[in-house]
Amino acid sequence: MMARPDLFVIGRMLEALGPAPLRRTQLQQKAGLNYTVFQRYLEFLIHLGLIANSAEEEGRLALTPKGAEALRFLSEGLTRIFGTEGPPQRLRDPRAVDPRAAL
Amino acid sequence: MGPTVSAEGNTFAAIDGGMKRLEDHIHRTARRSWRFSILSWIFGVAVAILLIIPVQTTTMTSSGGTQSSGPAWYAHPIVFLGFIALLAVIVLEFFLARREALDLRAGDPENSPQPPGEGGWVLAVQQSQKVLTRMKNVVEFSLLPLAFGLIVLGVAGVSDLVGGMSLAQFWWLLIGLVPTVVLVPSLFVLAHRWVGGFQQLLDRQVHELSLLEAEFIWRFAGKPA
Repeated sequence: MMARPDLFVIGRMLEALGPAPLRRTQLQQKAGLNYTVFQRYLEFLIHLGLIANSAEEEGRLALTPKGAEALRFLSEGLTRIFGTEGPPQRLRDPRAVDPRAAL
Repeated sequence: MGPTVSAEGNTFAAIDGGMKRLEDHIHRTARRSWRFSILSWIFGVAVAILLIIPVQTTTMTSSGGTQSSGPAWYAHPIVFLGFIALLAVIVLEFFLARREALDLRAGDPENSPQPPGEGGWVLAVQQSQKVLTRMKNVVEFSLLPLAFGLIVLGVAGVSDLVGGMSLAQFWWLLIGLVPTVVLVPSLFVLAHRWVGGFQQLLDRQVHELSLLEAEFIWRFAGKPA
């Protein structure tokens, strides 16, 4: 069990599987990870039940319902914290600290 | 509530892009701050050097002869204007650095960021925080030579006024000095505020990410937060 998993890595892996099941190599490429990190996170996510072997397509990995929920959770959480367009996005969040406001 | 994952699945790439842009802004602002610092030190050192080197001038006396004397170097309009010009450049660099910090449309849109590997965001934040701390120290430290130069100009101006500076020279000095004496504390406050703003933003992101990690582990890994 990972002590402090990188949520961005998890989010990218889950998001890559969102549209359709992928082979391992395809998932690794889409997530942009080196082999060692990818293997470690893949085992972790399979262990958590967020990713599983696809029932419809042999040899491919797919998102489970729990994985889809996790993806929504991470997408909303990380977007809330960091925004998707840098500081302008965060400006629309009244809870965000904006360096421009200090000026 | 909150954005949904797009069909193209590029939410995390967009987040990465936003963070990269913030990092780029911090680094560009830091480079401008270095230029501001270099110019401030040039100003301070130039004042210090000219304090040591007296300027000799020759004037006509009332009896028709000549007299050499060494009036304060600052009384030469060319020298004085030169310092004002340098101060103007210093202030320009400072406000350009501030504009870099605020210019949220800057950046090369074709330079799409590569997603960082594991722990990439943490490393990027640590790097940005180091840059911000260094930038704050550089800007604050650079206000010392500026303040030194201004105090010297001010003291020399007052002493020469007592010694019989012409009214025109006095007004030149006043017009040059008053805004700059007000400027140094203003620059100090501004630099503190904008650097502090970035630092607060990063600290808040670090804190909220920790909370999100704990909640993720609790919800999906079945472990207590």
